[in-house]
Amino acid sequence: MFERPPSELRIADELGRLPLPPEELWTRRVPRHSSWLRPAAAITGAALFVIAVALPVVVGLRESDSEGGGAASSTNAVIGDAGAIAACSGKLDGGQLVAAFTSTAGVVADWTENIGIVGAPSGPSPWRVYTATAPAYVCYFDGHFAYTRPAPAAGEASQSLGDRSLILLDETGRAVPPSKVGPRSLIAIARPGGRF
Amino acid sequence: MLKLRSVAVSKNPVDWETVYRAAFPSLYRAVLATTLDAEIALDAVQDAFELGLRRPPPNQENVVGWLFRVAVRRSLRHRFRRPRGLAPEYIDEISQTLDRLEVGSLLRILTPRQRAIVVAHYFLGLRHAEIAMLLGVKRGTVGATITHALSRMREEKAHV
Repeated sequence: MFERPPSELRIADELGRLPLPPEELWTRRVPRHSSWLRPAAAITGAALFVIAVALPVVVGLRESDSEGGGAASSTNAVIGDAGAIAACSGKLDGGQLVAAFTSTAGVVADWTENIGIVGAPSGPSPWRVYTATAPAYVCYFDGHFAYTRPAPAAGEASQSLGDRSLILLDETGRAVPPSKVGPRSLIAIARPGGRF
Repeated sequence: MLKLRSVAVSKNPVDWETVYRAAFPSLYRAVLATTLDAEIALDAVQDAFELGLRRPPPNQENVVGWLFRVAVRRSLRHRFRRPRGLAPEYIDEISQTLDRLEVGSLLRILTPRQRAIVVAHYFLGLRHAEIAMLLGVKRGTVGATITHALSRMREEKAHV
């Protein structure tokens, strides 16, 4: 059923006089698919980029800077966590703090027990006496350090020089074994975890 | 405008855009008369076009009615993006035209739903059954809504 519009109400005639927008605006140039999906995708993409590309590059650059020698590292910022940097500073005479990380006794105990060297002494880590959540600080120093290592000939020992040292501190600032001294190529800067 | 009602729409986007452009003047004016807001109307009509591009209407006998229904539903949700490039002068012109035209002031006293049904019937030429199907209401509801709306418009006109 279609009724003629009431003669006194000229609906069609009057509405037909409404001005139209410019023809180029009749359609959008870029179709809209979703009001929230694009911003969300952009944010996710940016976050993934930072995690996957930018962050490793920045950390890698900073680490390679610190590997460049004592003179260079003395002018560079220390890598790591502010609390750990404060705890580790000045704890090794003659060493330049290059990295410091905050961790827990449980994590450090797991880490130091995972030596991965055949025939190495094994046993519970000294860190097991602490509660697992007790704070622990991992400190990396660069410098020239003398240390004793087993010589090829049984029963003898020889002095060697290392240019990196790793020490572990409890929350009071006391050094807790084990520690490491050796060449930088063998003591890479890393947060606790994996092989010690 | 009634010529378009039987235009078949293929899934070819070029055809769809041709049909849409031919329907735009009456479609836009109908949605504008329903929303009484140029920006909401344009955004809703653009939305309807894009939906048709992605998912053409299943019933291709009444393309204008389908576009009108989609656009009106979008406009009533009030989730619109302000169309870019719509000049403030044009928006003012629309507002002034609606104020100047008698039908503009009469439509203002109706609810958006009443306006949609009156416009669909008297401007787009849709039948009661078509409006009922498009808007998801009973055919009798369409007739009663038109009668009530006309009565209110006549009353308002008599008072002016």
